[in-house]
Amino acid sequence: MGIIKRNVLFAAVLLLLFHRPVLANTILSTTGTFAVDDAEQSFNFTLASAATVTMRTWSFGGGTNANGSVITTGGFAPVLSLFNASGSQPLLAFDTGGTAPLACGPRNIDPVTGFCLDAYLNDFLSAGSYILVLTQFDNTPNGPNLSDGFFEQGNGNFTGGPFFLNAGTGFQRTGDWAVDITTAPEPSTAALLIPILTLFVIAHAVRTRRV
Amino acid sequence: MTKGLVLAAVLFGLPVAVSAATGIVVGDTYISPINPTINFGNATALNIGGGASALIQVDLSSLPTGLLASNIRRATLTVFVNKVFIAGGLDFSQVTTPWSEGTVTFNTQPTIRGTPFINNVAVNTSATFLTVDITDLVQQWVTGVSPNFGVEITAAVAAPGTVVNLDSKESTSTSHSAFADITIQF
Repeated sequence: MGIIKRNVLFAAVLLLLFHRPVLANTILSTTGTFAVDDAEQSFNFTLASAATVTMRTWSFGGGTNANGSVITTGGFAPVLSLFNASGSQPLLAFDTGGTAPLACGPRNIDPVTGFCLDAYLNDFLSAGSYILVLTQFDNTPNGPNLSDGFFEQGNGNFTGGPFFLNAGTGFQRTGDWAVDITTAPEPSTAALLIPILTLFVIAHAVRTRRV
Repeated sequence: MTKGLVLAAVLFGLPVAVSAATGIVVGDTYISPINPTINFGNATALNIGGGASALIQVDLSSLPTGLLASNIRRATLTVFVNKVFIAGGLDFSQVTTPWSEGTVTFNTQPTIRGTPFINNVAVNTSATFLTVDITDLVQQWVTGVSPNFGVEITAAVAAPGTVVNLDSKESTSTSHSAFADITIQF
């Protein structure tokens, strides 16, 4: 066996030994169905340490959620609002979806409407407890704190559908929703070892050639 | 400054300072070919795109009487783009026949002047104000060259796939009603 072949095999064996798949850490991945337009669904979660957290829906444009389940398109236009769970429960961020066709970000475009209205939040959060609230567009936060409520609170059929999306020609949607909360994956063992292994392989090759 | 003083200044050519006035919206709605007999005068959003278009009329009665076209130094119309579903552009056209916010539908829609007076104004970002120049239009309205029946806003001919929602004056929680800003000079 040639020197180069031997070195490549050596590196491949090391990579296989140390490789771990890169996966996001799932805090929550769940689905459900709203019965009325002004429904709210809260998700409480706690971070033991600071992390970049992705909070997103899949039910408008469809996709595969963190559980690996295929989520079909057709759900209502969602809004995700993130509040700090402590103190006055201040609003930290909210999202009402992207703008097609060029500002969708990671959201999928719904083939029926042409819109990319899944909600997507990606924030670096410090350790602590948080409340993520799912509502339907345009049932957005009324003020800076959770206690301020939401714009369409108490208006159970504010779309006239329910779940009618008043945009363009108008579209009848469903009450289905799918929400993921995940933290960014730590770099895999393999990813950390690749530079070291590369150097090792080079050094090994040089040494073998000298011998 | 009272209307009388302004009128005197206009008539006698007296130098008068520049002043500003705001034209508030007295009627806004949208019309939709999907629901051609439904009136959306109470809607909190003005739906534009997919054939739907918005109608907006501003009240200019607060302006001094006797104004000449040259007294309208500049006039703008500002709308609040609540949500951009599909980015693109908007056309603004002059409405040439009367309509009523509480009754107008797609089937009873007013006529508009042949071509838009402003074409393909880019609209890409949600939750932003959009301001267009309507100086020529206000000059026509205040001098009686054309009656003030407002403007129609449609997806631009150059960007027909555009879909946006504007805030209407009924969207009271946001206070983002459209308005006209008029600068008068004597």
